[in-house]
Amino acid sequence: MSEEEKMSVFADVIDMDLSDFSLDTGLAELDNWDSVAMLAFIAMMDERFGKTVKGTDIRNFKTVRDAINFMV
Amino acid sequence: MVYPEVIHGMFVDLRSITLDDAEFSYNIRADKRNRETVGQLAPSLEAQKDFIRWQMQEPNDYYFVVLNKKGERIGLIGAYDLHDGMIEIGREVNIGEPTESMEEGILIRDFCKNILNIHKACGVVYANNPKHISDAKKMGGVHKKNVMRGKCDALYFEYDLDEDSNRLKKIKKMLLMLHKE
Repeated sequence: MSEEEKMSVFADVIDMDLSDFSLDTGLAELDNWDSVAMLAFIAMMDERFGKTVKGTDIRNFKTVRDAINFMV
Repeated sequence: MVYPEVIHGMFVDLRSITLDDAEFSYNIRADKRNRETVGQLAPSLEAQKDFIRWQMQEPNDYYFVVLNKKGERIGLIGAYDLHDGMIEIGREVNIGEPTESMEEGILIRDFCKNILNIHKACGVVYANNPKHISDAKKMGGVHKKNVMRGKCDALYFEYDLDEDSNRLKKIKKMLLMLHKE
C-alpha cells in the first residue's frame, strides 16, 4: 500500500478530508483523533493488516506519520 | 443505589461500587491522565468513602466500577440525577484499552434503557476537551446548551437512547468484529 493510500485510509478512520491534515500534523491538534477514531484505527488494522494494536501503541503516536508508519 | 447484578459485556463488566473500591476510585480520579475529564475531586480518601456511602443509599444514583475481563479495575462510570425521564451519564474514567472504554459507554446506555426503562440521557463535557466533545457527538449526543460545571465552561449533550446513530451502530459493529474468543 502506497503512502498516499495509507493517508486515504487514515482519513477514513478519523472521518476527515485529506486536505485537512498532512503527515506532519500532530495528532493532538486533530480533534477527530478521539476515542472513537482510536477504536476505528484498531479495527482497521485488524481487518486490513491482520495486526492487533494496543491502546499503548496508539497513545504513543505523535503525528499522522507515526500512524501511517504503523500500517505495515 | 446498589444495582445487585454484574453487567456483562464483551470487553468489560460493570459492577456497583462498594467501600472496598474507595481507594481505587480516589486514585484513578486523581490520576493526572484523567484530570481533563474528571470533575470535582474528593479532598481525601475519607471524603471519597463518605461519597460512596451516600451514593450507595441514594435512589436513582448508580455508580459502577469497570472491570476488564481479567477482573482488573480499569475505570468508573455512573448514571444519576434522574428527573423528568432524563438521566445523566458521567463520572467516567478509564485507563484501559479503547475497546474497553467504548464498550463501557454502550453498556451504561443499555442499562439505562433496558433495566431502568429510561429513554433519554444527558452528559456534560468540559469545553476545553475537544476530543471528548468529538466523542460525545459521535456517540449520538446533541449539543443543547453551554453550562458551567464547577468553575469550568462545559457543553451539555442529550442522547436519545431509543435511537442509535449511524456512528454508534458502526462502533458496535467494530467492537463485535474485534471481539475474538
